[in-house]
Amino acid sequence: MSAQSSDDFSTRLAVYWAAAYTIGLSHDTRRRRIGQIRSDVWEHQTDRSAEGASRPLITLELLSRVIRGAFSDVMWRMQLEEPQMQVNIPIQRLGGILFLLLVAAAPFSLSVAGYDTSRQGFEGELERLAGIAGYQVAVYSMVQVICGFVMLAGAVILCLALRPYASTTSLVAAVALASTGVMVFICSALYSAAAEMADDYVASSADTSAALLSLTRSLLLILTALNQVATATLALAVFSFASIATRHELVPRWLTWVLRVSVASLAISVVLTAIGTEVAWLFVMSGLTLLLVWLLVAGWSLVFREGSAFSPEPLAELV
Amino acid sequence: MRRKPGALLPIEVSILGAGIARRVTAEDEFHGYAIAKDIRDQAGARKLTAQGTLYRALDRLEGLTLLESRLEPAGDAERESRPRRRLYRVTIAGEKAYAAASILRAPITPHTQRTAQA
Repeated sequence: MSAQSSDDFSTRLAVYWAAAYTIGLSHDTRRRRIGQIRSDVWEHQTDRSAEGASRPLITLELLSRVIRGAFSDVMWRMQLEEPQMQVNIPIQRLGGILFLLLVAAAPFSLSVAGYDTSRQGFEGELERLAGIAGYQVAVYSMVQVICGFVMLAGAVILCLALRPYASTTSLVAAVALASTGVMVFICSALYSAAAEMADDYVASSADTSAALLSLTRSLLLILTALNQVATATLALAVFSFASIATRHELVPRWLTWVLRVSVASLAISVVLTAIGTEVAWLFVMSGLTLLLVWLLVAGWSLVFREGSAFSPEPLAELV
Repeated sequence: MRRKPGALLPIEVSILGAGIARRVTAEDEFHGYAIAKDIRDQAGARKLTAQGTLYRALDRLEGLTLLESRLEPAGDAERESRPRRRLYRVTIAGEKAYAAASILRAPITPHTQRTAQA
């Protein structure tokens, strides 16, 4: 077997896995470990191929060796990391990871499934809600709860990370983020309750249906309002964290413009809502999307800051 | 349970043993895959040692100066169109550690029981 085979799936998996668990270590250590793995995989393929083993079998053997050794790899990394943990994983990087997690959590926790809470035709809305399968409601609620926990943990970690730069602003941001987390928990509970009541409504008699209709509508009105407040507090948290990160150049300078355009979009949306124009939602969505873009780029930049041991550049050379 | 500093794991003893055994064939140096294969053959096992287990053990043995390693010259690898091998060799300290570990790991026989009692 020629060296060409070293480009196949199992080789890539082994090498990328080695590249992943060596992230943050010195370039020499990474190069050494990835070199060991590349050589090992090549020798394994060549040797087994010479013995007449089929290509799929060799791939399976290699996968097995990677998977069985994964725990040792992580333990090796932790042992190597222990004396220098503070150096290689400063809390700012953890903050970056949380920014990235927030990008994933925000759409799940704040997404309003488009409840039409207007009095007219609310029966149809309830029937639509009742049509959602029980497991879907459970999964959605569970995801929201996880998102709530991410926000609470994020509030604490980001506050610790950014407190040295601006104690008051970081506290405001942390309180806003923690409040969002709590509201997400409440939204999750309200959504589950509303879904249950929608089921009851569909199965109820004419005597009780009016009361259920009214009660469920109230719940959904509260849920919608809470979602809006949660969106606002999340935006406040992100703007506060962003202002600290930008002022202290923890993130690329050009991100300031993303923030400014986001603020402008949200401000325009407020004005348009006050006027009563329907296009206000377009500006709300643009403003929030730009906030998510900010979180994504800022998070990436904090985790993989240029020149740091986390920098992704060596991977291209090593792999 | 945390092991004693310097105490060797079975895989580490096996690596040292296989490395020393290679000297019989005048191969003083070995690379990772070769030693994994030797260990499998000696133990009569079916599977090769996982990479994570193998290289963690090799690194630890090197850290304890029981092994030493060097990267083979680039020319050797280029001639055979393969990645460069890291070649390991058991040191004198490694031989002593293996001898000590082998005594400890030897099965208890009436002879060793008598020696221990004495």
